[in-house]
Amino acid sequence: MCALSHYIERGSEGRVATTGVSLIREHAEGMKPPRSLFVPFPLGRPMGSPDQPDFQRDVLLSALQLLESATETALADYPHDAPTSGDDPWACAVALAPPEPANETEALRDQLVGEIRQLAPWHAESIKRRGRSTVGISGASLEQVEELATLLADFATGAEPSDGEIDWNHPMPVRLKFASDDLRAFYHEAATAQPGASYPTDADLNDWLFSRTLLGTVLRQIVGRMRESEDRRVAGLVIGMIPAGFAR
Amino acid sequence: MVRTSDMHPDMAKNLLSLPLPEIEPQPWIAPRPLAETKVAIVTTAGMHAHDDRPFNPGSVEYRLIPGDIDYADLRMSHLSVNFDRSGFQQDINTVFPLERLRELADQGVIAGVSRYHYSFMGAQPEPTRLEKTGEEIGRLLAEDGVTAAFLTPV
Repeated sequence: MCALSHYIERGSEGRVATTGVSLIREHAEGMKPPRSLFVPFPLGRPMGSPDQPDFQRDVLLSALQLLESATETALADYPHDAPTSGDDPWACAVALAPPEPANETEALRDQLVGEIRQLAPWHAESIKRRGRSTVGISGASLEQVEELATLLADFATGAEPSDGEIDWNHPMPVRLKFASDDLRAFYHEAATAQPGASYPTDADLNDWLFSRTLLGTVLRQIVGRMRESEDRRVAGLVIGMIPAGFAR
Repeated sequence: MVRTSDMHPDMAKNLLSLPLPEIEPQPWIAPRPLAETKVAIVTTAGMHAHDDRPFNPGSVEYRLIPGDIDYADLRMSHLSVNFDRSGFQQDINTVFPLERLRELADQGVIAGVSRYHYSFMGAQPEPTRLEKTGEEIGRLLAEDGVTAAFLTPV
């Protein structure tokens, strides 16, 4: 991000000034982008919090104002924390009661599909409310989400992954990473569509997904197999599968 | 308050071990009133239109995001899993504040919003690999009459 600021200004030959937000203050201190606003928000939320337009606009304006005030390299600090929905801990309202994962490929696939179907009504609510879904980076359409379970069950049980009907965006093993991301997005979108006083953070959602869903257990199994793989491309993808602290 | 000291130790260690190459600063661009400034967003969130190519690991390419894109067409194929995606999933503006930018233009705070915005994949182990495409974006923005870029990471 910081490097891009320098390159954009250079490429524009002084016609485009850059400003922006920084989530890692140490990076902005080290790379010295021309103008930068450090914001003390979680990684992934550079504008603060979802559905907080006034706050987002203030963050944006604070960074833009550096364009008319800074006369030399400027690293400013945004003075406010991101809004939260209170101190009440979030809990997923749907108790999934995940079973012990089956050893057989077909049985594991059926278990995963069962869990997906439990969440499907809430995912439909998510689409109704937000008008969109972020699922689809693997190549699977929303109607093909259950097929993603087939790929995961194949890999988790050591079966040869079948191509199925999905027009995959990536070959194996990268396909596995984006199939996993799509299923996690489906679960997150369904979970955040449920009624509840507090909005979950990413940490809340990861805690839930990796301790209270079958998908979380299966993803850990998959990562275990990936670590043992002699294929360096597979082992190298582990870092892109499960957030730090949840792989165990 | 979120700082590296609050993060999971593995993640903080990884982030703080990334190389921070010294890049020669450009001649300072003189301040300009915001009301005369046309703004584009450049994000490193690994976002792209649904029918555009997803990012691959290590990609230093960029994706074009038209200014009139429907938010329902936006996806994120960033390689890293170590950042919050739930904000993006609930409200795209948490990452890509195009609607907020349009509001500032409607209010006359800024002169306008670019017709085109650009997206890269961040978490680059070698940030200098972005030199060629970063300069290209600078040329494209300038030729389109854009006078400022607002950069957002994840």
